Amino acid sequence: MTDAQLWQALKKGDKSALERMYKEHAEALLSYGYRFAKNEQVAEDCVQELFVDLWNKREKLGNNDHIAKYLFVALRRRIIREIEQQRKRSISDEPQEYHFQAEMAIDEILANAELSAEQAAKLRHSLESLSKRQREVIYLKYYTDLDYEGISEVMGVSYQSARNLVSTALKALRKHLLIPLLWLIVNFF
Amino acid sequence: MKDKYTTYQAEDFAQDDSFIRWVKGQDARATAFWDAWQKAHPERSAELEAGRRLVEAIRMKGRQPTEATLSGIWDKIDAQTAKEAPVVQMRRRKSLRWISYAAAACVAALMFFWLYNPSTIVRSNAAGQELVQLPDNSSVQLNADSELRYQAGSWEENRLVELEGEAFFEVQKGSRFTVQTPLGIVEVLGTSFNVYARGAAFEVHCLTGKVRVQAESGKEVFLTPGQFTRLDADQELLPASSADGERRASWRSGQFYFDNGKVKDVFEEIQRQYGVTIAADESILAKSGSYFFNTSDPIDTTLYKICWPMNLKAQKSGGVYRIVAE
Repeated sequence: MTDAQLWQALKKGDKSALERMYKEHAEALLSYGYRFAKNEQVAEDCVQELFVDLWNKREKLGNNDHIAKYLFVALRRRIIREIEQQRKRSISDEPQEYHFQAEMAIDEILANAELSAEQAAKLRHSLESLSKRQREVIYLKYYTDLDYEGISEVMGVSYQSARNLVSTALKALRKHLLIPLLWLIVNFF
Repeated sequence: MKDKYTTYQAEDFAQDDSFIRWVKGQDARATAFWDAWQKAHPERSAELEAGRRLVEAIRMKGRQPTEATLSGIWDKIDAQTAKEAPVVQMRRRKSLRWISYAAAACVAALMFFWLYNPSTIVRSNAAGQELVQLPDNSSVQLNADSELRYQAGSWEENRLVELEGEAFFEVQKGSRFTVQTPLGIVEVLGTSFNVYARGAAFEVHCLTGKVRVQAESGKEVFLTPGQFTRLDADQELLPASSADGERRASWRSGQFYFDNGKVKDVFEEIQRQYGVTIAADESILAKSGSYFFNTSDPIDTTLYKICWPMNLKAQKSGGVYRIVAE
């Protein structure tokens, strides 16, 4: 069943279509949502409300042939709105709980890369200096099935800047990570 | 057709969706395509390998939802989307009204049992203090003759305690922590502070962190360390002003300071701390000044120390300490 057909089924009131969408996307949506809020409950509530709303508004929905994109856009909006409201109610000075937390697992990367201490330090530095937008784009690119078009829509940036954010990050990664590899190849010839 | 991939660098490969699926081994079509491509282009194998390493290097920390979480959320969605709203049916056929009432009653009963979450109540008697450890290791020291209520079952979702009396809080950092009293609420994220909520008096001292105090009127005051607020005679919160919070909270070690306090408050506190009854004329109780007592002293000593500067003395008769002129 294509996305467009599944969406039609939902609009006609087919509850199993809703369940199918949930089963297909909930895990990716939730792990994405967890990265926005320190409090996991926020992400879980937002995912729940998202699907309940989808059902309640099903008759008013337009056509859709890219369900993942729709769900990610809707979830991101929902979470950011919720966090913004919490921030207004909050009494804390520190801007916590509302930035995208997708830290690169630097130690794991370094352990697999067999780098010298100096190279490792450089790589660590370049990974740590990734902006949070870059992290979010990279996350969406490598941990979800969204393409660049979908990512740009989810994040509300242009197609080109979504691409650029990833390219810059990958170039930095390549520069530090792949040195030993290239050196090996040069030696080989 | 020219194969665009022949000009690809490692980072171009690493951004190609089909290439990524190949590296992750999630997609049979991508796997077939790239395996074949690799064979056909041995001259590109170094770049291809570099691209593969880049994709593999992108690892991010973070938690994944568990199966139980996922199915738990679905159950809630399922329940909330289960039926059409009964309102629609009621309009169509009046006879269905009863059914919807019955349904509503059932739902209400279910909700009651589902939400019913017995409160934990801690009471300190006169002459006793209680140290309460909350589920998240926040601690509350209850002064004598005070009561604290909270729901341990829903503590993680809602850090809320109800207080009547006086207590000193040391709150672990985390989500909002709320103290509800009959006259106002106090909200913090993680800090230590003292709340006094007895009778018509409501007074909050902030020792560390930041505290939000809201009166019943809705007026709110923010406190930073070293500040306090209280309700004035019109039950309105006074603006934050500086006060020695350590001193105010020193009741925890049995020391009670009354700076410009009423004699009535002093005797009430002595009653609470020693579990005794004290009687005095209104004219005496209306006096004010600065007083101090320490519960490590016996009751007679404490009463003597409070009374003699005012030319008063305490006479014990029939279990009551009567305060009279010397």
